Amino acid sequence: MFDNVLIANRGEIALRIQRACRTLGLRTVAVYSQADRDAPHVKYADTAVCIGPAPAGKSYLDGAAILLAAEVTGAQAIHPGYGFLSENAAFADDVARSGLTFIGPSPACIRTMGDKVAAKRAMREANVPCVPGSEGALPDDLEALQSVAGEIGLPLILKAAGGGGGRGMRVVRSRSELADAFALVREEARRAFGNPEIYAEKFLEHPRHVEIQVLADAYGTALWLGSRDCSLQRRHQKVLEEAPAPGLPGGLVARIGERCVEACRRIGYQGVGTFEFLVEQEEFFFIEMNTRVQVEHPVTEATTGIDIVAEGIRVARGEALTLSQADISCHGHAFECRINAEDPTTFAPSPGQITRFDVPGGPGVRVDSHIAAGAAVPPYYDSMIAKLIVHGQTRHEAMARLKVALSEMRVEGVATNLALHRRILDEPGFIEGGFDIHYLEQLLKAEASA
Amino acid sequence: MKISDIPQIAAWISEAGIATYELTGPDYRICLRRSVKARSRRAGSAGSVRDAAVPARGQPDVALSLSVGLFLHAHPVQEAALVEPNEPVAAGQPLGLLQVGPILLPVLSPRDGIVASIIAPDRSLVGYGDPLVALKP
Repeated sequence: MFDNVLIANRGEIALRIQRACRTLGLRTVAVYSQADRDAPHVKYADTAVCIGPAPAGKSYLDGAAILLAAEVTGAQAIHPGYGFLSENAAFADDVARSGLTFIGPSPACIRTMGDKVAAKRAMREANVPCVPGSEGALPDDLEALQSVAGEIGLPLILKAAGGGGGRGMRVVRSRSELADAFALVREEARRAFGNPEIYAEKFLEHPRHVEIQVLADAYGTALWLGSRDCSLQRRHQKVLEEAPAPGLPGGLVARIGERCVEACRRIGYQGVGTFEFLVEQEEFFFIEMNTRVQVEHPVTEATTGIDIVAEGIRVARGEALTLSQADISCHGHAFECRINAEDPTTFAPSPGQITRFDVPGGPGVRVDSHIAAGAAVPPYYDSMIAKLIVHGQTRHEAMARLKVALSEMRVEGVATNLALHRRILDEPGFIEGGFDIHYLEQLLKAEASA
Repeated sequence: MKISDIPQIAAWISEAGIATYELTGPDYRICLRRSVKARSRRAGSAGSVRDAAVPARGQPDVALSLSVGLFLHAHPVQEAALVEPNEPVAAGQPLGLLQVGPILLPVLSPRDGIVASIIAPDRSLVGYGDPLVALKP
């Protein structure tokens, strides 16, 4: 059992993990790049050590440097957070080979879920509903390809098996487009992901993005912690999330949740994770599983009262979950706004020095951030500077609190998307809830042409 | 030392950017060499080190750490420090050692000069880019 955790990440999530460790009485090691010398999690760590220059490839993505730091500092476990090496099965393997605990699922689970074809196969076996699609990688032969496309039906979407983050995919609306689209996706897959396998799925026209948070220990207990709706996206990047997903029948969500935990038990999943679904007309279709803590986990913490990050660390220490599914219920409603340092019109990152950083307060308001006035937003990493999480007894109350919180929040020195969040809260479609994943882009498009 | 330990040693020297590793025991001697081409990205990245401690002149006044490790003033089996303040040193001369697990990496003088001070304390944890030894002309 470990009591010294190296946090292989930066920004708000490094601070979030550090807080969880400290509440559990564990010591922390911060590793940082030269750009993050003054970060708060570096200041509060029991031990902190610089592992490389600012570019992530030479610091937060350098698994060898992180393992050296673990060796030298005596860390016994590594928490990868999200992004960077969090879903890198080879790194998880290296951690285990070094005799350390990787706080997350086994490398085999990461590998299976990282390969979209293998992941869908595993989900079908556990009766988790999937989007109708090719059973495996698509054939190269055009005739065989057309036949598979015929079975799935049009429109369909071609996806690179090793892809993610919205890259390596293309929608096909007519049979004549198929061959060209296939060649394009294959080329992108080969170049960007080093895995030329392509698969096809039925393309849903108006889906919502709904996900189920899970938590599993090493002794076969797996729990689902409710739903989140992350449909408000721009270019496949989530902007604002909420829990629970509004308007979905509780019984339906519970049935899906039960199948997710069944899948966890079958694959021997341990730790925190998220099953992502597209939902259309009250039908769930599995898209992928994230084998790590997610940016939007706080909305589930707000509605369930469970410290998801701390629970993930506890199960990695070999402790059994003390909760049962009957202990878990959803109270009220929560929203999370991702506050990014970005240009409000072009959405390009806006790095620089923060000169003012006023955070809101009041009942049900939480801000997860590594930023303070005077802090620098380096150009090397993700542009997220804060997460504003607001909880209320009802969706209506949470929305009213969010509106006040957004009006109080002030960031100066860099451009931010705060104005966009304020605008979204006035939109009738958002107020009503249950919009699809294209909603925000359509709003932005309509605004641009007005 | 067992034959089965060699892959682990090979991995360590690769991670640490070491080109040649020799170990002599009572009844064995092993020598591991890595080709220059395969020299690790850590060693390769050393050229791009930029730190506030390095003046923007051609002659660096400080030897910086290129890796995480424990900085040793002396070899573990010797008492005398590798260098002392006010001692003249030549470019490439070891100024101290960086211990990473079982590996000892020499910290080399970036130029000819005189040791001004040894900045990092003996056996202290140092990170990438940390100043270790200051030189004067």
